[in-house]
Amino acid sequence: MSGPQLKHIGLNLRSSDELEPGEAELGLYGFWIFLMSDAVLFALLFAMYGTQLAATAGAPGPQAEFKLGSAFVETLILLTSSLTFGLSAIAMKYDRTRAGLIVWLCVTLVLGLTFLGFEVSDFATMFRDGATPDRSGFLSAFFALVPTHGLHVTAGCIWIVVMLAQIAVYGTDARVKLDLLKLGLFWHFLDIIWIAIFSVVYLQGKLG
Amino acid sequence: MTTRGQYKGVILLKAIAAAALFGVARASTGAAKREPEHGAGACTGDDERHSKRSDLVTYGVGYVLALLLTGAAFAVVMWGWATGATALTIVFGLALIQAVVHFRCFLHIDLRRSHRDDLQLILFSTLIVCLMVGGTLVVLLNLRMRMM
Repeated sequence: MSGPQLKHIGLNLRSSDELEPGEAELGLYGFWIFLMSDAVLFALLFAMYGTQLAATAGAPGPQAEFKLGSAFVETLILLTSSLTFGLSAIAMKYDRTRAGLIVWLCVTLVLGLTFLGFEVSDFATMFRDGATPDRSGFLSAFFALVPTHGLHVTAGCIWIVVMLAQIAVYGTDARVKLDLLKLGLFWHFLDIIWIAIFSVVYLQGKLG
Repeated sequence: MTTRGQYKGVILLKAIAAAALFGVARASTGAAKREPEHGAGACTGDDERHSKRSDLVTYGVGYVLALLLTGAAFAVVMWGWATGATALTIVFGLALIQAVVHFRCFLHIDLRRSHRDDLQLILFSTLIVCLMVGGTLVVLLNLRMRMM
């Protein structure tokens, strides 16, 4: 694949050679392949959403249901969580102690859960307004696309908890570091999906 | 919506786009210059501090650019700086730039040789996604047109 030296941020195997750099590179490349297959899944959900935009069938449409304010707050939360995850990667790479890594992971977890809270309350409001998935093609497509991203964020939060447990049990050995790097890729990737969601779903919906 | 507001919006968007391009260009050239210090197996403490600072700068630049691009996209819609197809084009353009910024600053994909495999995988997946999404849109929109 590539050179013998690892260039990914956060991966610091200088002190411990339990894991061959080649093996680590291959693992990360495999995770990229997973991410890209996930991207294809999301892209097709987006395509389906695009074809259903006009199919409101008398049910509440995007103009009535989408709130730009809460979409903006959710975006800010997710962007900030990306930054804090990056800070945890930097702490893992350079710090002698684990404190920074754990603190930033916890902050990221809290931000992820806050995002989910906002999203669930948005969905609850929509349900109260009678905008349920069975009302129209548009709402079906919306509830197929946006909650899929929400489920991914939920999976990411569970993964953070698992990694915190692994750090507590195993310390930051090469395996744990590699898994944290993959989690980082996953988390930043979800942010990119969210960019597409707020542009295609919320902003386009408000533009009408 | 006034012409003046539109004019101001366009100027702001141009400035943001220029800043984004500048940031991306600087980040990728900066990365090329940084390479040797990562390459050496044993770093001294001074090198490490320097590379920590540059990593922090990468994330900081990415975060600020992401905030600016997000803010611009929301502002275009919220304050009606543009309407209809123009606004949609601006929003999608900003989203595309922001995705590139995220790939560069958060996912560390750049033109360095060690990342070529990842970059090629991403570009190939993008091609596949474009084909699948394009095909889906053509078929289903055509179907809808005929059913109307």
